[in-house]
Amino acid sequence: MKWTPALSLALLPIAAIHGPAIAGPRINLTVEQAQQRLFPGQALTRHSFTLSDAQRAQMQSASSVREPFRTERVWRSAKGDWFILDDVVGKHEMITYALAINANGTIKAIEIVTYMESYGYEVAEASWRAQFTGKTASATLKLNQDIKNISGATLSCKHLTDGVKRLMVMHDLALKGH
Amino acid sequence: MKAMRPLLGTFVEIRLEACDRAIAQRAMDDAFAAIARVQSLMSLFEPQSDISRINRAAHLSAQRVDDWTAQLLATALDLHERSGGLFDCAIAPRLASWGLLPKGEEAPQSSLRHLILDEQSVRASAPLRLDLGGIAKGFAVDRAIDALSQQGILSACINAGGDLRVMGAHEEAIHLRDPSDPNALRFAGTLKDGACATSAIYYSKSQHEGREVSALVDPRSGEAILSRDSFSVIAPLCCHADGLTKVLAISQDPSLPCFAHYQAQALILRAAA
Repeated sequence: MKWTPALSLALLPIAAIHGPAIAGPRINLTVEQAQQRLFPGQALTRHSFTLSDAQRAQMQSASSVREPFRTERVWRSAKGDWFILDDVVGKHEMITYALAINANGTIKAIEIVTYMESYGYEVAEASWRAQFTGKTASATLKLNQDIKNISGATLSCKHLTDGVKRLMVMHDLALKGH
Repeated sequence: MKAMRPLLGTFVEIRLEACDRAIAQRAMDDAFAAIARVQSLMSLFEPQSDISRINRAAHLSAQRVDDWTAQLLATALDLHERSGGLFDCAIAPRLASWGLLPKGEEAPQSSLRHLILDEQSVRASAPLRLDLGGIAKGFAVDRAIDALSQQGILSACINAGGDLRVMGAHEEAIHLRDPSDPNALRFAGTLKDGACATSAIYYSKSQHEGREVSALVDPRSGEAILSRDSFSVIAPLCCHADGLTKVLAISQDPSLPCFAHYQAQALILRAAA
């Protein structure tokens, strides 16, 4: 199959085109779309909670991620599963990703929500993301140890892996059992 | 050679190139016969069609179906799974309740997830009512393309009311209806050896008890999709393009992983506010 989209289509005032043909590797989901991918057909409610300074320090030392986590970005399903939104730095731009954690504390899946860089988007590939599935807060979650690297996307891989580790530690400290 | 016949609730146009007129005619007849065969297997209006029998009795006893019906149901189940349930062609009870399809047996929990396919035998774990309108047209176009290939045709285009597939070395110009003005066509691009299908409600929306309804239903909520936008999918096979337009209309998310799985490109034309 060979599909060559018309350039004129993008210029039409009435039409907005979506799709990899024109958007390239960039990913830009809404939070709702990410929630539907990870929890199809389920309603999620926002979970409000706070983190103490001691908890934040523990999260940082376990993951080496310095940016403070925004606690308003946590949702819970009726079954007790978690949906957490977070950002990490890619090479130049921020990557927004979502982590889904099962009620039993294992990782359900991760989804890339926003990825605006021109390189390194291989982290959005399902096979790379699938490495996280089933892991718990006690897993190492370190690049080149229990998470494989992707050549050419090292920084994105490393920062995402660190980000997931931090969220799993946070889940263990502050969300588990709620 | 070019011919058009009313089939599948629309006009099906077949264009093909052949150097011999007799071969062209035979290929044309075979292609239309393939489409007519899909139509009769999937018909909800013929009580003895495969789909009518499944709807009536698959929850009571296994129903033996035609090889093509089995292939189509396998494709539908695959789409259902890969789209996380967004593709679900068991929404007939909802359409019937809005007067868009004839009434039939009760099936309050109707969903493709109840369907069990074992080669050419179909069972259902709960009563269900299929309406393959969301995928059968694309499947019929694929079977017609196969029929042309078997007659040695190398270059053709089949267009079944907007679900189309092109075969051969040439690039076909694809035009899409402008959702703000369905009579106006917009050039969308060129396609070689692939299929394109579009879903939009500009022709199917109607009123039911003062409420607007359409033939596009979100299986999660049972609500009609009332977006004015149009949802097109380009994919190698027309059955996938056809089925995926429903996934696109419901999710409004062209970057869902299942599009990539089918090597599909999704595009949404936004209607002017």
